[in-house]
Amino acid sequence: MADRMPGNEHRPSKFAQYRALLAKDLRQEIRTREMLTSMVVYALLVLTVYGAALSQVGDRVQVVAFAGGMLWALIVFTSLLGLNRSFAHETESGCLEGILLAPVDRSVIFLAKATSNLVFLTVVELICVPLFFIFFLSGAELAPTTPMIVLPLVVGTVGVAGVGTLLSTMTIDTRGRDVLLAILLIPVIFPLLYACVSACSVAFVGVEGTFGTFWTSLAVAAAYDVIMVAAAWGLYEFVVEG
Amino acid sequence: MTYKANQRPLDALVPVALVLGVALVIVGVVWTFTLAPLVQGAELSEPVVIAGQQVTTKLLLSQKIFYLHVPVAVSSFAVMAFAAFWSIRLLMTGDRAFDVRAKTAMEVTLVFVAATMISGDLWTCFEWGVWWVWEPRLTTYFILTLLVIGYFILRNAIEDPERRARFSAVFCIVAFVDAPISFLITRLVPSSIHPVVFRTDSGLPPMMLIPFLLGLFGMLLMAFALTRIALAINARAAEVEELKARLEEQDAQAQRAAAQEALDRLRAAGVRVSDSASSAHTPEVVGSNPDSERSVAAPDSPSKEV
Repeated sequence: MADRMPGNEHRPSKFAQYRALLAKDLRQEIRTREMLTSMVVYALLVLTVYGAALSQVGDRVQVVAFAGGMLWALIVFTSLLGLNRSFAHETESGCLEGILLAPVDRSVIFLAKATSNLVFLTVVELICVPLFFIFFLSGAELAPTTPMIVLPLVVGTVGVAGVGTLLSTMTIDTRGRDVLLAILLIPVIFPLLYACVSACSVAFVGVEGTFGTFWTSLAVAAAYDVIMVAAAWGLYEFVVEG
Repeated sequence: MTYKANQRPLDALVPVALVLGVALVIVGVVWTFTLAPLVQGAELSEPVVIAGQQVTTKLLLSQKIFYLHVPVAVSSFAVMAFAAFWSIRLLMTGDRAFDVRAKTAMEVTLVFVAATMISGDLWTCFEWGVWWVWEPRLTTYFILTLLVIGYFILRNAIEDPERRARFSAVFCIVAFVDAPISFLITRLVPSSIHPVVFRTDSGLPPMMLIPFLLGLFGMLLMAFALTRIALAINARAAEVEELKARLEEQDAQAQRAAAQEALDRLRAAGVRVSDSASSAHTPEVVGSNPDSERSVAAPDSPSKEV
């Protein structure tokens, strides 16, 4: 309706707004490489800690049994770091205020921000997951179903990016925001984490007849994504207004 | 608007609900320990291996925890539902009174959640032989506990009351998503060793069902009464804060008025002094303290122009 009002003919469509906001985030990241560098280095450090934690586990087969859980611990900690960083440069020199002053729909801001977070998380995972395999599973006999871990990884990352965008916007201006994001995010994404770890573990172990669990877990994770991303999308305007 | 004006007829029921609730819970507990039969093993239809140990089938006294544990847990869900409801109302209306209500309901929720966790862990220890299992119901409830605690940490981290109200409401709604999951998980994951208690054929013999229902209704009444009492306390506390702010405002106004009056008096004195000084041409009379004369005279001149 507002589009038909005189003077609004040249107002960019929602998709154009979304593209512009997303392009801004990606361009900023490509130029500074601030977030990706810190996330990849942090992930590498977590892998190093795993190296010490698993140094006494001689048998590679044992590692396969809990590789799904370790992979997800890596992803959760790395995305916590990334989500904190993703809004850090928005608060610098009033960038977020500038975006809010522009006549852009709040849900478009959420979608753009969630998408850029999703892109960064995906890039980090593309680097870290192969590293995880090289460091901890290179000698192990992998089940033929191992590539199926991509599905829970995708579904899980979408959920973490969606909920994480809402919660990191809330914590950005608070006291002790780094800790607060962890305190809020980890319990909220727990059901997703649980489902994704269970699906990944089934794929890693690859025993015949357990794939019912895989699909059930994946369905639970997908349902969580739909509910939580929709809730985050709807509630986002209350978080950025004012 | 005072608290009395806000008072609902519902508050008249609070003492009745509290007394009745406590009485029902006491009757339930007494019944539990006297008339209710002991149970073979846990509330299980078949033996289950937990932590490498088969759950015993001997008569278990610790099963009595069930009669309090379940009512407390149900009450925590019920009160948290109100917290989420008031959070939604806050976001819809922007009325800060709903923030006080949501916060109050979350405080009561925290009490019930803590009671549930303690009684539940005693159950885990005595019935299942372990202190903790990552079983679906336990896990989801543990997450609920963390979310309720996180709610208060979030509140404490935000200074601006308006933003605090909005953010904590958003988080309360997000957190409440976990409550139905926790409640329904025993139906969603049938392998769970938690029994499904809420069904029409609960499988409990009447001697066990009656004390359980007494405890349940008593606990819900107590939850209602506690929430209303906490609401009254918090509403009054908010009112005291408001009155304090108003009093401070009035105090500041009075002080400003007194200062203004003193200044006026001083100006009048200054005018008198300068008049007498100019008429007498004897600055020595007031020259004992020339600084004060200047400072008094200085603000005087613009006011004369006005």
